[in-house]
Amino acid sequence: MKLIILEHYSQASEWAAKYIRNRIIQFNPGPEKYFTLGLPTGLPRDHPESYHSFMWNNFFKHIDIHPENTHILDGNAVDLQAECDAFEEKIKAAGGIELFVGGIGPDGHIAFNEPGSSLVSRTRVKTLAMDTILANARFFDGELTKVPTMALTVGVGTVMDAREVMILITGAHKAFALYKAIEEGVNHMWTVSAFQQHPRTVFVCDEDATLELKVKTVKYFKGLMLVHNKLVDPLYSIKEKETEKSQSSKKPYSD
Amino acid sequence: MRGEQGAAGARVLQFTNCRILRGGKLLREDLWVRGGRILDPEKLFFEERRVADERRDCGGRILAPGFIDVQINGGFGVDFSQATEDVGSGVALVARRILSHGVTSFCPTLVTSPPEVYHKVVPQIPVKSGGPHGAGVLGLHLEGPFISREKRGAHPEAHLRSFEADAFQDLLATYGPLDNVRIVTLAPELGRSHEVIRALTARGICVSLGHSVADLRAAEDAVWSGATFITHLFNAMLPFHHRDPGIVGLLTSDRLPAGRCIFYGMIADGTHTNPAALRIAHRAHPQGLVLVTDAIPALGLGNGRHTLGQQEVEVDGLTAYVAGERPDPLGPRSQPACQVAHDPPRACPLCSQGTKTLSGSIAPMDVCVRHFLQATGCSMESALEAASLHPAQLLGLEKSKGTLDFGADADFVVLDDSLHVQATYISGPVLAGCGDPAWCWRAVWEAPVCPAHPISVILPSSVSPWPWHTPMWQTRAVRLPEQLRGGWASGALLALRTATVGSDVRDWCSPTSGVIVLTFSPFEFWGGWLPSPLLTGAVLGTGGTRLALPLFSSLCCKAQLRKCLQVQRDRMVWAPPVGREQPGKNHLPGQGLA
Repeated sequence: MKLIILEHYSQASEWAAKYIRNRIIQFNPGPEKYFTLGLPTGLPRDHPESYHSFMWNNFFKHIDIHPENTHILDGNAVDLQAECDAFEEKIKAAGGIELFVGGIGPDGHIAFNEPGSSLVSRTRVKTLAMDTILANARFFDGELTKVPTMALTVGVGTVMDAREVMILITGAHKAFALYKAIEEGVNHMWTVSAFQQHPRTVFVCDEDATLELKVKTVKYFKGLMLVHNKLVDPLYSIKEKETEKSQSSKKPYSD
Repeated sequence: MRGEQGAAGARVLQFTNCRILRGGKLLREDLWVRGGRILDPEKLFFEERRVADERRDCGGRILAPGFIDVQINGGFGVDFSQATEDVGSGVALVARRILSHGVTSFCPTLVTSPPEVYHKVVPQIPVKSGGPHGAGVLGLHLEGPFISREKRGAHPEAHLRSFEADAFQDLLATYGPLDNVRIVTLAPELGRSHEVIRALTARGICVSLGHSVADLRAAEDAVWSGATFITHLFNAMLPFHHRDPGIVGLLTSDRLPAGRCIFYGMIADGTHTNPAALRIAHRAHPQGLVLVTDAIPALGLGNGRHTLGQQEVEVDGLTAYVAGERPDPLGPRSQPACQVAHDPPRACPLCSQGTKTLSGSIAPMDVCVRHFLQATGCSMESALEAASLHPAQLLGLEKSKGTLDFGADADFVVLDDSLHVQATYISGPVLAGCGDPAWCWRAVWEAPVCPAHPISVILPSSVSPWPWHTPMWQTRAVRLPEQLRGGWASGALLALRTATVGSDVRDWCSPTSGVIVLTFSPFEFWGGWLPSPLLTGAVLGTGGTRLALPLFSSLCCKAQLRKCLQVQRDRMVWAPPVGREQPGKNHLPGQGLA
């Protein structure tokens, strides 16, 4: 596991973004596709709180991705289980997930795999825990009755099959979950802890999220930041690689 | 009006790298257009799984809804109130020319006229969608003849009428069929006005209060009957009084129907309303402010003398005066022979002496927007909404016009940061048999752009016969809009002296390398040509400006300059004399946006 500790939320976001950028360049995408982890929860697609809207406004709208390369679970499908199975098939057909990016909940869940989820589960329908409903109530004007209670989610097993996993954890309210995920054992009540058994995991967090960790742990990983920062050094941009073939000097990718 | 061509097959156009006015804010977002309507890209992405067929880079500019002008009496020599045989072509000319001012829809206005004129003209101006032929006509604005005698302004007294006898039937008899009419201005203190207002409102015609001596009570009652607009606030009505605010008091009245917003038109050209009055109105009721031009036929005719119907008008910058003899520049200004007091000042019908009498407004809409922004210090969004959203709300069209929300008509303007219009887009259905099926993807008007040559322009103020009253050392450094600088990499600030609000430096642009120095001696208007960039630096120093100009004026050659610069209305064509470096291209439309 690599634990990347940065000072603030914005720095953590930037580090994560640069890391993803580097990984995309290294992956050298061609006809390969990327999957989006979508967790619609029975909301209509154009509801402002649906994951479709979320992904559109925060991601798709700003990039030139082709719609065919995005795959979001459709919570309004007629047969939900078939939808989940089809999702698993699509992942397999695309060659598996190269990099999984996610966050955790205050109860240590990854995706919507609530405490008690099997650590080898696959994409399925899941009922949400009260904690999660409370946490999401802020998107629905604080009305608990409006918050959906079921969700389609990728399973812990599905995520474990990814070749690399990156988890973003920011804020003091996630500190205890991070502690349980890293410093305690693997436990299905804190499903993120399953990634202790994943060969390549990166946890990116800010100072506030480390409040429950041992000082020794924090100091150790902070000391490793010199090494870890090399992971986000600028690589050559794919576009510029094509254009600089005629030039002798290579221009570094500018941030 | 718009065909349902927004089917899945139509091309999708995406405008990127721009800021759009949506929801009262300038958002850094892309604008998607299909089939003449603004498209919701999220639906396109998730449901149709499509990307844009064409992307246009807007260069960081602002995309705002097209301006809507609800009061324009004519322009470019055309007078809508004249009963000519071919009214339609006059309207079409104005519709085409105001595109360069950013206006995409307008309401041609008819002033007080005899019934024969209405019967002849009104049926000839139908409601029409916009397109590359010109801005859309939303309907007529009939200002008068049911107005107050005391506040008739420039309207002829002989043709004023009242509807005491037969109320609505009188009105019908005067105007004829009301199919093409959108707004009617009347004075509410006239007898039986409430019946008329109710009848008009029931037909969906917007009733406006203006040219009236009504007090606040009468005005409020009129609003209860259905009036929603005030024609050119402050002008042609009783002035604000602290015990009886008159029509002006409607802005803050608490006796209006709940939820009803009263709109009011303002001419923000810097002349018709004092900026302080503009600010008072804006601060009292910003949501109701509608910018109008109230333009007369002299709009867009350029400086100089023009004949409009029976009158000679002299245009000087943004003001139009009744023409007369040019006063002696060396002596005191000659007094007009006619001392008739006019309230408000208007052209004296008895004499044609030159007076400083206002003869109507000739400020184009984009100039009004800029002046409004500068005078009130409001946000850019408010200024743009006052010219687009508020008129649309007044006419009940806010779902389709005056907004860039999804599903609205794709009428918008591209503006730079100083709110100069760069391009105007009106999308519409693809016309059957149209030679170029892609026309709807081109701007209907684009600001001409200089090719990439460094230029520098130093301008005098608009031509004024009294140059020494405006000292030449009062320079105001202004940065030209970006595209005009072309290849001028240094982005030098240019010394520019303007005495009139909104004078457009692009009218004097040249695509050559070097400097064109336009200065004037007391009686003439000179220009100079300097090929050397080194001299440019000397000229641009603010201290040197005053000294340099007389120096270079000796190099000038007015005739040479006239040959070089042929300003053709809203296009500039550079035609240097033979033997000089040919810049290559003239200014052509379509060279604006990438």
